[in-house]
Amino acid sequence: MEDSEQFSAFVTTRYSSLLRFGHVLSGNPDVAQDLVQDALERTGAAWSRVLRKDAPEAYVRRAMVNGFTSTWRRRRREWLTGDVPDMAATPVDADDALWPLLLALPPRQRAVLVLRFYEDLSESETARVLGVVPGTVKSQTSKGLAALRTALTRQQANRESTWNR
Amino acid sequence: MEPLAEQLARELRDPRHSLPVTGDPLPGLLRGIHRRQRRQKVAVLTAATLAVSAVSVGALALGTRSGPTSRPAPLAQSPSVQANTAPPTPAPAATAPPSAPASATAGPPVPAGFTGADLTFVSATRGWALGTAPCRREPCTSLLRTADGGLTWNGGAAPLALLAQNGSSCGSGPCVSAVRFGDALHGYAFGNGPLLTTSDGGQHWTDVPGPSTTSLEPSGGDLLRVVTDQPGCPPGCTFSVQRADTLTGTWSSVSTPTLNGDRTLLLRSGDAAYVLAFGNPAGGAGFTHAEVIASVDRGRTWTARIDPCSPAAQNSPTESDAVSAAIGPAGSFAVLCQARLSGGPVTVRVSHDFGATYGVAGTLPAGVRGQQIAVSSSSLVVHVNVAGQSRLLRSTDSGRSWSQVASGPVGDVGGFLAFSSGSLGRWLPTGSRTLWTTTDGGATWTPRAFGL
Repeated sequence: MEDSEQFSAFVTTRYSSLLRFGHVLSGNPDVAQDLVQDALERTGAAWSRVLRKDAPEAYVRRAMVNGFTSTWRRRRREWLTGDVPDMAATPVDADDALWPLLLALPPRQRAVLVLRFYEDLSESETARVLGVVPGTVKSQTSKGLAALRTALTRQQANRESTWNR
Repeated sequence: MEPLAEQLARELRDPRHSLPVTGDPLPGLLRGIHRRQRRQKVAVLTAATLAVSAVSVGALALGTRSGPTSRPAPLAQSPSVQANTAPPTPAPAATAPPSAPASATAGPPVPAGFTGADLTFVSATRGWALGTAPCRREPCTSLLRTADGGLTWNGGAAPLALLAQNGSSCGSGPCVSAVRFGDALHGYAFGNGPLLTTSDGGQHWTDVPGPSTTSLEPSGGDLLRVVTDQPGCPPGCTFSVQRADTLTGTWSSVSTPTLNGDRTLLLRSGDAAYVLAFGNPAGGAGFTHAEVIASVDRGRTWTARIDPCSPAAQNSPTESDAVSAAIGPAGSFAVLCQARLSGGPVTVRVSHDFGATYGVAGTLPAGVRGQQIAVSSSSLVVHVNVAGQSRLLRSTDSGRSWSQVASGPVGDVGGFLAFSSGSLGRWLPTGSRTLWTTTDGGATWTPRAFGL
């Protein structure tokens, strides 16, 4: 099969999953699309080499993580909302409370948590994706979870104090 | 894993964080890739020019000092060349540019008299059409291929099975009525019988022993199918759902609410999936109303939903039957309900909450018989039969008003009608020699014969 056909097949089958990965990574649909587009363009431009040396999907996800952590440094921390969703909002439950707290984490920490708990990668696999040593992954995971725990506790305390007033 | 990490994993994997894929991303990607490659070429040329200039200047300087016998410095030693050809992160080096999207593939011509029954596309350009053409010895099932979005087609190897059309039976032996491909290589032909698969783009097909596969849909690299173990089905079959994690993976059964009917329809978009088991309006051995189940996690878990056409769902005494359904880009679910009373109204009911509740999107003009429905990003399109003639009607105001956008063959035909992106749609009435295509969300449809 020609390179272009293999690339087309790869995009067709994996685009939806990559878009979702971009969303949990960035927390923003527009940024997710940009990350996927950029990573797939890079991958497509080097497709033969990627096929020879690497698993294409791992390569794209690595490019997305690198793009996310480096782009974040250059961008303002604000996003435009293009469309108002037409579906009714879902009631907030315990898990929902985590999403905004995740968005508040530093991008590198967030990337570590996404790779560890969404992608189910081991510490060493995560380290390879991020280009750091496993010890850094371990400490970032621990710090990220600690930050989430603190934020959750604070949120819970705020709720209770509001309720008691 | 500690509880917070588990909670985090649950949150990250929540289906609500899926995003709908709007439109075919491939054309935009290919344009972006070509832009990058042009930039890389320009960068290399600039580097080479600078290197030549540097060498010339160096040679001139050396010549001035040592006379005409001195040699120019080798190109590879020029620091400017190395700096300018440094690869972007993370792609460390440019390779040969991928060829442009393939145009028509070389292959056997379309068999004379080919008529289509089903269609599948894996991109905006690459697709297959299952059909039949007159031949000396059965089975006469044909499979066409296109690599240019349906502008040109070629014949080629086909599954060795009879073709069932419009619910007809094949008798004994392998029988197919539909075809799906998950990528350019992996395809599936099925009907009321064993599944046939290919892993080389349709050149060779293999029987997969197991239950009868009545519906199958690949999406995002995995597979869902609806199966039944009952011999002699229909009427009155009991269906179950199976899932495979990859396009070549092992099938495993998924727990679902009961699912009975005569035929099934499986719809997928992103993480959302619906299965409809259509009943037999005439009663008898079958079931009357459709049974509907929905999933928001790629078919891993399923919930029973009410038949949107039933009197209970419509809060009306009118007996209606679901005749077709479609899934929208964001997982919305549209169902075509045909009043059982002859000449009764045809309504479209739409759910935006994965089948939990439905609203009436509109009523079709009087005197039409509903066949199929499709949802684009901006409109509803229905295939109806009006006085024996197939027509496509379109509504851009949520079903309040309808206008005819295409006219097809004579006869009460079914077939294929679907949008593969927000704007790109295709219509293949069963038994037709023509494929209709729209690229503007269904506003205009262009017919093109398979054999031309």
